[in-house]
Amino acid sequence: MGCFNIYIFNRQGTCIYYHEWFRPKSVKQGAGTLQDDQKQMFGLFWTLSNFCATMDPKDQEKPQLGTPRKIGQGCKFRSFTANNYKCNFLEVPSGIKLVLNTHREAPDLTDVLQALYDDIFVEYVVKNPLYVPGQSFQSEQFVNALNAFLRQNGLLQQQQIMQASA
Amino acid sequence: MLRGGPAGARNAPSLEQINAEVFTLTYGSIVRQLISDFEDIEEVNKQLEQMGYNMGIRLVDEFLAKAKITRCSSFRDTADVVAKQALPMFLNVSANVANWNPDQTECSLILTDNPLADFVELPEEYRELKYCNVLAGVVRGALEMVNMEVECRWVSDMLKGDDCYELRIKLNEHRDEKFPFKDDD
Repeated sequence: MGCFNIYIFNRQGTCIYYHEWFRPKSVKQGAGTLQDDQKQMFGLFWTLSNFCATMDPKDQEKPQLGTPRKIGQGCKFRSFTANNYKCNFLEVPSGIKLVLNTHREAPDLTDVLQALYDDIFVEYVVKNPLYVPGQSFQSEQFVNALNAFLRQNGLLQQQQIMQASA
Repeated sequence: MLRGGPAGARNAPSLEQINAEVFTLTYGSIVRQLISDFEDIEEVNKQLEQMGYNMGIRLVDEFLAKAKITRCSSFRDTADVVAKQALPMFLNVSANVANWNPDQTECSLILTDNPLADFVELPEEYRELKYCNVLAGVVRGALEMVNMEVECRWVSDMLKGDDCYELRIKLNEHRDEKFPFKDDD
């Protein structure tokens, strides 16, 4: 129960941060390598965003499937639920994309992801003078704040943190 | 744009404040140091713009987090947001947007006062210096991160005797989201 993993992508598709708490099926059995796994995740997000924008029933002018999205339109895609997990997305106008895989019964996590971006990513990563936009980063403060925040929201169980730090 | 506040303060929602005079004087000494390092005014202008650009690409995330605006659908909206929300938030000045060209691709941001240039007098030999060029760089960097490629330049400068600060912003391209990986991968 709880969170499984988190990816943070930038506009160029680079996964600038990846962390997993609980992943019983190893990456090798899935995509092969971690890099492929991240690329696939990015592609999935991309395709689903375009798809949602095209299928929006309330939109006045619907783009054709396949036309590139303009930034002004926003990302209408929020989450999908599969058999064993729920995948939550958030995209910010500056191109940063957050992907959080959680257990199935998680509620709508848009606010949680927005708060994660506002309070944790901007505070500990963007304001960090050693952060180079476009490259992956390591930051202990960020990891600690992330774990504390997710635990506060009930998304992280104590034993998962033990597993992660083991 | 400099965020001060006590070291170790970690309350995210509140915007940390810094004393305006400290900010102005720090900026003034940066410009002075650049002039004595480079000695060529054009080079100093370029360096100020580059510094502003590096700040802008990071600043935009902080602005999006604090201002919680969702989307700007056009360049016109974007210019309004920059003038009415971003500048007051970071510099505590508000600006007006004016002088739109018929295509809606160029506009001017008019500032009546500018905290960067308080207490500053520009001597004759530095007439070519664009003292506030860092602001032009910040706007360019920030807008580039939301896929709007712009050019910013100063057309009037109170330090040179004009009656206001006018920054001309020209939209070159409003790029679409492009899939970064090759399709055949």
